[in-house]
Amino acid sequence: MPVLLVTSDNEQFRVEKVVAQRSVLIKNMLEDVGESDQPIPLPNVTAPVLKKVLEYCDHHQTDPLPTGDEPSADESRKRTTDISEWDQKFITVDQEMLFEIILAANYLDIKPLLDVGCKTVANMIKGKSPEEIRKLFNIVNDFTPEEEAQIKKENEWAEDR
Amino acid sequence: MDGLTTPTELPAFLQEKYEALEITNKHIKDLKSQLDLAKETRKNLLKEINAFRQAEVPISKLPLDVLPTIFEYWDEDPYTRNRTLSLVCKTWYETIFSSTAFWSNIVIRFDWDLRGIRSLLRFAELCHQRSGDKPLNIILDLRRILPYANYIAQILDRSSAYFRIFVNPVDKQAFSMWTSRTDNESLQPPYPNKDGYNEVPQIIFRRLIRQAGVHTGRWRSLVIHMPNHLQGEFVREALSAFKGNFDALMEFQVQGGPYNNVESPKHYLPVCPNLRHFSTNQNLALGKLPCNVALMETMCLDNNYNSWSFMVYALHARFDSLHTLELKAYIGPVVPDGRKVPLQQLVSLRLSATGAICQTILNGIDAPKLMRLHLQQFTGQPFEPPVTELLSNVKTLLLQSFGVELEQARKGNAALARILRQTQSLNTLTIIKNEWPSTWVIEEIVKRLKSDGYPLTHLNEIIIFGQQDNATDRFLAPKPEDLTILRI
Repeated sequence: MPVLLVTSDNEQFRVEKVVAQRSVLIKNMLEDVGESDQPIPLPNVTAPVLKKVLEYCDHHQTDPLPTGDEPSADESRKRTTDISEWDQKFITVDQEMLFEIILAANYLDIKPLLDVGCKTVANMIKGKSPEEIRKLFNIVNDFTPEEEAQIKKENEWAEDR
Repeated sequence: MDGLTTPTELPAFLQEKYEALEITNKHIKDLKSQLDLAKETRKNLLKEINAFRQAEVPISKLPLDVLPTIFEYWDEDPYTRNRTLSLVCKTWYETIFSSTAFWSNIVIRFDWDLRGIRSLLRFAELCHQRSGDKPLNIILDLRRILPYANYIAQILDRSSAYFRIFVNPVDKQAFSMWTSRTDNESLQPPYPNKDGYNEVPQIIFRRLIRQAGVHTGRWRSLVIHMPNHLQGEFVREALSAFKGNFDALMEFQVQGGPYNNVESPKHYLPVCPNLRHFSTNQNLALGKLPCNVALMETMCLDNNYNSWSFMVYALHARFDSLHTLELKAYIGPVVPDGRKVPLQQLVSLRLSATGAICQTILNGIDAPKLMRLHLQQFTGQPFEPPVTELLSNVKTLLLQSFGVELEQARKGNAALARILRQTQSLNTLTIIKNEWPSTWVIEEIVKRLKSDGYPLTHLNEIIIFGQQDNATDRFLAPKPEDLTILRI
């Protein structure tokens, strides 16, 4: 049975339930309302972003759903930043879309997609200096010179290497 | 000013000093006002910039709880990660420093230049301070300590020009290559005496352990990588500096080169009452392992001596919780006839062995719950199945390195058929194909067995890897282009 999703810019998407339910948020909403053809409003997601998210959900519709038994943050040292070939192609988008996808995955509670987005950003910053990271993401250095000196001092290990 | 002279009563030269002081004070006050004003201006500018960024800079839209997830994926080197990310901006600094998770993995990599050790010690100290009461994971990586580190350290401190006598090392790699030649007689450094061998790293290592050792009660895992050129006693002596308790230690690994024989673990490893996971490729007497073997869940004994020690020791020790075991054996004594190692909870076994020894070990294990078996063969001599019913519940079987020559291949075909006759519960058969066997041969063997009435009723998948490189990794995470999947 198809589900009707409505984006923040009022565009409607009719998708298969199995695809929509990759989102834990939507899955819970559907369970709450029961059998209904009421549209589901997604006020935090725009149409271009939802289109992209649904492309991911459609491709991964047969994957096992996360069980909650995945490694905790404590086990993060064992995490891998490997991304499958399809996911890599899928996530090759401009920065604005990349962060919109992460935002949407976080809001819609699609953990595997959130992980793909976070891994992609992690791979972008690996091996770069603070200055290079600022430049890459347009981040303003908001430390005063005194604060920066203080951080370097308290972490003197940072300056030895 | 009671009892003191007032400025007007002072001598003229002091009077001038007082006036100058007043002017200076006023100047400082003015500067402070200017500084306050500049700070206020800066604050307002940042506010405006941030307002603009919210709308225009994509990364600033991320909720704060997503940032740690991104940072966690950069986990190979927590030292560099924390240093780099905390210097990007205030938000990132707060994210790094407010989370204990970023300070719970201490990776100490001794570098070729030991002068950097101070920063490693400081990093370890910060981790211990900032990790709250979280369990800590410690990796001590000594693999890049050079031979004759004393000698190198002395030269580095004396004169870098000294190197030019031998070679001109332009980078660390070239330097390492040069130092690896110090064993060569023609380049024998003037510091080969045994007593002073690696005295400098030894002292530093002891200091590190003493410092970090205060917190050993919070250590959850300890991994030590030794370089090939260091003797076992280097680590043993250094670790004897441990004074703390290891009540929380659940995982312990010692990996090193083939000549590092750490024979008496009780001398270097304090009692670990809760140890669950143990892994080593070093020779050691398992009977002296200072832990409760009944709690042990996984053991990886990537060493011939240890594997045989285990088979003998486990005959009377009770490994009641052991569910994963890795053994490597190519020569050694035979388990006493008719006796079996009781491993009632064992689910997964990886055995690297020659054909005959493989059978001997399998015969000597009683593991009714065994479901996953990985057999890696050292020589062309094919595996033989056990004469027991050990394989009857195996659901996943991985066979690796069968014979590569025609004669071996024929024997391998027959051996494969004999093994499959015993694995009536098999779901998935994986073969890492070297030169042999051909895919159709395997398919034929399985079909013939089925038609002969062997109950391979659950076998629905045969996975064959086309290449041997990194085959084990690909076994764990297969990629479609690497394998052929035959549905039977």
